[in-house]
Amino acid sequence: MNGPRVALAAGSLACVVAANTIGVVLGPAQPRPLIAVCALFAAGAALFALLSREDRVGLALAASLPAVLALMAADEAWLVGPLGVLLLGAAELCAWSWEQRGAGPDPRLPVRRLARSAVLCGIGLVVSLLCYALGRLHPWSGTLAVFVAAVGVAVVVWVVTRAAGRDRQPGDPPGT
Amino acid sequence: MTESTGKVLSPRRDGRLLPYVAVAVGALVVALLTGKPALVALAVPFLLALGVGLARTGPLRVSARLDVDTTQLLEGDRVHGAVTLDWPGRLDLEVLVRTPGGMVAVQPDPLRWTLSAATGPVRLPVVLGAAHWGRHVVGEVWVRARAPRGLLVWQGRVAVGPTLRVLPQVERLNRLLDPAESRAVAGVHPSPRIGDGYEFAELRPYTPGDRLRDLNWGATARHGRPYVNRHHPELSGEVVIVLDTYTDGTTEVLARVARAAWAIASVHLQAGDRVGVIGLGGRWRQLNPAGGQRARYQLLSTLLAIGGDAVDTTSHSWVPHRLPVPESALVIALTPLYRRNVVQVCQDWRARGRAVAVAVLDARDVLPRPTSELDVTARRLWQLEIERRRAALTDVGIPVVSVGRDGLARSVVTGLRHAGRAHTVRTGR
Repeated sequence: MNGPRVALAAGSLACVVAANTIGVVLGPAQPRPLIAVCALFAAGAALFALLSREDRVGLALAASLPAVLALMAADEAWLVGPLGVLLLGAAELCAWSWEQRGAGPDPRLPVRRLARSAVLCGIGLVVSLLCYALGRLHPWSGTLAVFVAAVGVAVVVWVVTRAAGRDRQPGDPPGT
Repeated sequence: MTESTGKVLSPRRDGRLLPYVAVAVGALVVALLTGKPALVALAVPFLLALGVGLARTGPLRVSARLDVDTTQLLEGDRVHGAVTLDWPGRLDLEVLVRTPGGMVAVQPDPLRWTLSAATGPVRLPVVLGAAHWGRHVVGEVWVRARAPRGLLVWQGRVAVGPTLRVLPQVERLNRLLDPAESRAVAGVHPSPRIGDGYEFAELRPYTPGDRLRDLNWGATARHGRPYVNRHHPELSGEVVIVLDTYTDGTTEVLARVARAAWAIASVHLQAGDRVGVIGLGGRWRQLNPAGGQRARYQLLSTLLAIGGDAVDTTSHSWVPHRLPVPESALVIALTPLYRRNVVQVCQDWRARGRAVAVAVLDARDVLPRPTSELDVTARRLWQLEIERRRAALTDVGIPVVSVGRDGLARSVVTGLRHAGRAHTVRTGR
């Protein structure tokens, strides 16, 4: 493993561990042992995904969900969104660490990828906190509202980026 | 030197796509069922990632070509070229030139590039080295593309380079093996028959009709009556070179086989002999003995085909039936003796009266150093097996020489001359 790959992999693992640790520490006391077991499993799955199979990152995310969802019962629900962003960051870093394999010595590449993921995670954090704040107004109507908002955000982003991605065809002069 | 090809690549999902969908949809559904809006906040970042990552879907058309400056080169030479790529849009692109067994990368020139958020067209310089003789495709261009922040990957082979003819390096020979029987055309091998020529054969008393220029004045003076010189006519012969290219994947052995074969064949052709070749190891290939410039090209083409077969390890097969060899030909087998069948074939030729000589290619020097006692013991056992096969050949009167890395072709000729010495290598009539 080259340097950037190790750094990205370490960052990914750190994100998973941090999300689970927060969930275990701040979560309810009674189911803590069970959550801790899930957290250990999540860390192991993250390690496996980083070392052997990148498509196993889903396992790490799934195993991290108990720790994150436990915050709902501990009156720390506002942390659910940020921890989700942390897990998203872990998955992104895992993917980039695999992409770094054999990518050459160019140091700009991982930096660019990190910057893109950081922007995505930053926007995700802001939007998720906004959704949470909106949901706090009323439980059920808030849920519906933020559901519509979330879907709307995704659709708008999709449409906008698709329009931007409608590019020229091969054979056209460069720059057109 | 290649046509630009437009290849349509279908998208494949990234490893993150399904987990993101599962988390987002699961969190939304549970939020709706339980009425807890905080869960939607968990889904939102993943929904955003999905929205951005699936912005670009559908197949991707990539135009690519791989050009090189030559299609014919010698073993060890370099070929310069370029990969030209074009694609629509802004993509993160990984480009790989995958080389077959006969071509290798030349450091520090890369065969893999990573382009971040790049737009086409791009031109990437390529330098390759010809590591092994034969007819090889110069390389295949593979591409893996993804949109920036994308969750889909487009991957596939987009171009294939031209086929190169890599010729083996020629070793100089200054001596020739004498073929088994000279043919009735002019050449440089003295025939066992008597006739016009330069090499002295015998003295005999003058008979009417003999040329005066053949009178041996010294013998005439001693015997008191006229004697004339008789000569061997210089005639050409037939040589069949057998290439056993079945190796353990060590291309150095193949290179040595090729160099020796080409050197021996070239010199015999230059001398007016008829030269044929049989390839064993990959696909079975045979070129009947022939002479002249055309035969030279045919021989070269067959050698290159044999070299290509040898690199393609999937095509290795053995021909169980008897291989036909002209009755008068000298058979020179170049083999590492890795397969026992080669011994049987040579013994069969010998039993049918062919003149056979075997050069065993010793490739121990290209093996890595043994790392354990087990390695050492295994190599000793293998060497004993090789010696046993050599003994099986010499027992039936086939001269065998070992050939190392230096002076290969010359050592073949010298060794076989020394070992065969007119009784086995040359069976003149």
